[in-house]
Amino acid sequence: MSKQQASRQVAMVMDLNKCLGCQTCTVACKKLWNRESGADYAYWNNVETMPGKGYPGRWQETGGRHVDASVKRGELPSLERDYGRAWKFNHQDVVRSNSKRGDTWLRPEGDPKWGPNWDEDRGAGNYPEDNHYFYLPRICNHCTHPACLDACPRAAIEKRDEDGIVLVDQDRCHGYRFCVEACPYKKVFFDPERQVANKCIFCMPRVEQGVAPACARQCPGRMRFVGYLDDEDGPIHKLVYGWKVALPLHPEYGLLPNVFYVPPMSPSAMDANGKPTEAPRIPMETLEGLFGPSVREALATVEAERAKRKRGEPSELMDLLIAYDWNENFQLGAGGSVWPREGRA
Amino acid sequence: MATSPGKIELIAAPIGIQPGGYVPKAYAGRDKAPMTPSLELEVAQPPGAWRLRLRWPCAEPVVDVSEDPSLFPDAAALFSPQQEDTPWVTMGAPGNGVDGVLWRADGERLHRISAEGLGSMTRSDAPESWRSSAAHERGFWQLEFTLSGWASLDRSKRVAVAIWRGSAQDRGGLKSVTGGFLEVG
Repeated sequence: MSKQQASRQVAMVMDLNKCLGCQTCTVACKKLWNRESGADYAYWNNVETMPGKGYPGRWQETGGRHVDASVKRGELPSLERDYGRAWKFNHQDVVRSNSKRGDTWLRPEGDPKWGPNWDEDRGAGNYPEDNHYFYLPRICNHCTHPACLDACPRAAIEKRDEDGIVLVDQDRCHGYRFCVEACPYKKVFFDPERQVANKCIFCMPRVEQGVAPACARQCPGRMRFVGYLDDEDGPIHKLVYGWKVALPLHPEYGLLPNVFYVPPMSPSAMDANGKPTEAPRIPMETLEGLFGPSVREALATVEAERAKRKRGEPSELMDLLIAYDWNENFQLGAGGSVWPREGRA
Repeated sequence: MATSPGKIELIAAPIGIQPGGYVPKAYAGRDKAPMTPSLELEVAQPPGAWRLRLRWPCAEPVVDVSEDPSLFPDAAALFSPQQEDTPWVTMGAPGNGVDGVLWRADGERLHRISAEGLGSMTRSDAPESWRSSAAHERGFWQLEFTLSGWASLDRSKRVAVAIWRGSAQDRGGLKSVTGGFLEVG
């Protein structure tokens, strides 16, 4: 059987206050790893709008774990309803159209029901009182206790000892998809052409060279941090354990995810007269539903440090989150104390 | 020599013994009744070969799984013990395995399979001489294997059958099986 506990754990922190929703990370990942037709629908990295159904649609309802962290039978997302087929467009119809301008619109062929980023920028609430949304980028969480690994009857999923990256051995995989079902984040995909599972590999060949994953390197918002959890001088340890402002997604599943999020701050909601209220525009219940009860304290810390900075006082946390030097977002060198300074290209 | 078609009651493979921490809990109780309750098996031994005909009820055949990642194909497997005391329910044990043949309704090539315990099944291309033909008619799958040079079956003359019903999301240990090895010779 595969070993579950890793000696070291590589991790990522995403500062949701800086996510632009530009999908550059999504494209960087897709272009690098998932260009084959059987992986059309597979987005190891996606950015979804919250509140929303996300990708695959309804992923938070598809099970794998109860809220008390016990095992619950999960649901296999379907292509039509939950992932959506890769769209084809009527480019030729538009080009050949001789009719009046505007008669033939560019549109997807067929009748798509869902797709990645389907509910972009919809969010929730009512304008102008409390309408709100924020972006939630998601990759595999490379959990400390991976549900996918636990689910595989063939021991085809491994958690690497040297960095905790969770990998599928496609030579052992027989395509049973218990891993897809069991992952409550629905971050394991299945290639129906090759009949094997696939998932985010945390850009393992890059990490082995001390280079951060493509999704992190390509982020124009500098919102991703990459390093080892046990590197006390690195950004991950500081944000997760030091400042305690980076939180796992759905901690109640009990899988100990190793991707963490700095929760989004929001301006005040308005009252009926258009006056700011004490309530944040993004309801605390929404954030607690995603990041657990610790989100209150995390937000309070970030807001307090931001206030300090606004007063002209120093704030190590703000300096870290602003990421003046992009290279300092990534610390993957051996031992965590020495790391290659990455090129700026 | 040939055996006449006989109706064989199937059982659901036990869930509690399936490997990993997920299947035994997530599918607890699914083994109360098999998804495929019975099959008919007819065995013949033309010179140098075995011919095994299977027929089992399947109201919703699943033959195309090439696009949707939530679909599983109908499938069937025969396996034979390598030794007298090979355990059947675990598909053998280390050093005391089973081997046989796997057919899938999606047209994937015929596989030779072998296992030495649950979760250990390996698949490889079946020998060129191994043949299968299948048809779905009036709510039944009819599948015929013609297999030559299958040493385990030649020696043991015992075979077990497993049926996976794709529409019920059968796969892996979620299957209907004979209640042991059947004497076929």
